[in-house]
Amino acid sequence: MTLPVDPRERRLDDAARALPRELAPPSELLGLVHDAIASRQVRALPQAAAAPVRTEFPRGLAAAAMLLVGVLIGASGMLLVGRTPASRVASAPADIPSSPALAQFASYDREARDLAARLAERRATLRPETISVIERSLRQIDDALADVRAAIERDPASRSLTDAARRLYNQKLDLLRRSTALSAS
Amino acid sequence: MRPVSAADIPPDPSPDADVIRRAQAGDAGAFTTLYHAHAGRVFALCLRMSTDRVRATELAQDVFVKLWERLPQFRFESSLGTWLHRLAINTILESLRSELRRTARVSATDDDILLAAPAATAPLDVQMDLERAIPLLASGPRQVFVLHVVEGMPADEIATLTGLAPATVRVHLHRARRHLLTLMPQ
Repeated sequence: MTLPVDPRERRLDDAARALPRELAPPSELLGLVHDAIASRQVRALPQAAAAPVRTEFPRGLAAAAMLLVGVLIGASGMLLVGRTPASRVASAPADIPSSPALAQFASYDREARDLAARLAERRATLRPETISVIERSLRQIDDALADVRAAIERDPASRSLTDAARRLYNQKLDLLRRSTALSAS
Repeated sequence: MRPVSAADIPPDPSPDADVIRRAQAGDAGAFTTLYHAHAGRVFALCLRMSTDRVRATELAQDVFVKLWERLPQFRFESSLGTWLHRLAINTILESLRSELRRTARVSATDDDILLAAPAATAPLDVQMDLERAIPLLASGPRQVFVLHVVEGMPADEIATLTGLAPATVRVHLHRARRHLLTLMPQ
């Protein structure tokens, strides 16, 4: 019933079956999985073993680290836009999680910070028009993220809000990755 | 020529049963081992069923969270790879269905399109480039084509899983093949 008669379709099916069974996932996927499991707490990963490559910080130090992350991201945003501190580019909308519900996005923030820093280093290789498009897009995403994060703080149990935040974070990371790749090419 | 059967699927890359049992008991290190054994296979499926790496990453994340949640229910009646493959397909289809419902209610703005646009307008290379052509298919034909031709799932099983009529599955498959052929260099 489903076997093609047309020889061209047969060749197409053959080619499709020959596609690789495995494709390398993005490096951040495992961290995202751990974060999501930790945030849902359905069957919580044991803290010590959940992220073997990470270090557990005392609460105060973790807060200080998050503050530093926020400063760094803000700084990287300023680097990207040159000497225009008023512009808010390549920065996370609210980098210091003020509620446990926002902690699940920590790995996104880390990745965004790294990419923004890399992009800032290569800023000079991009055309001004390109920088302008990137900045505008990042600003739009960050504004939307700020709204969604605020909504999550008010309604931490909302799955749809969490999903919306994940999509926005992924859009931001995707844009930063593509921009970084563009600047490297 | 025949569709790919289960026998065509490469040997299960799962680590031994001991690792699975430790993961079932909550050992995160063992779970990470399982992740590394299966992530490539799961991600390939997610990528081909969706349209871009961003969405595929979200789907793969959902699959592995579900794996963690449901692993205690795994009874060793099949290989973990087979069990996870089914779990992944169900998770992906469920997610794509709800996404379809959501996007039907909310119209995208220009900015959404700008930011979320897959490489749908990118010109195809001279060589047949299925990996780039598959995302250009409409959602239904793409899912049926990937599940049936790439993954080797029987059409009646696809109809059951997706809730589509068998005739609709056949139509989607036909359209997918025809559309892909138009995208391929002659």
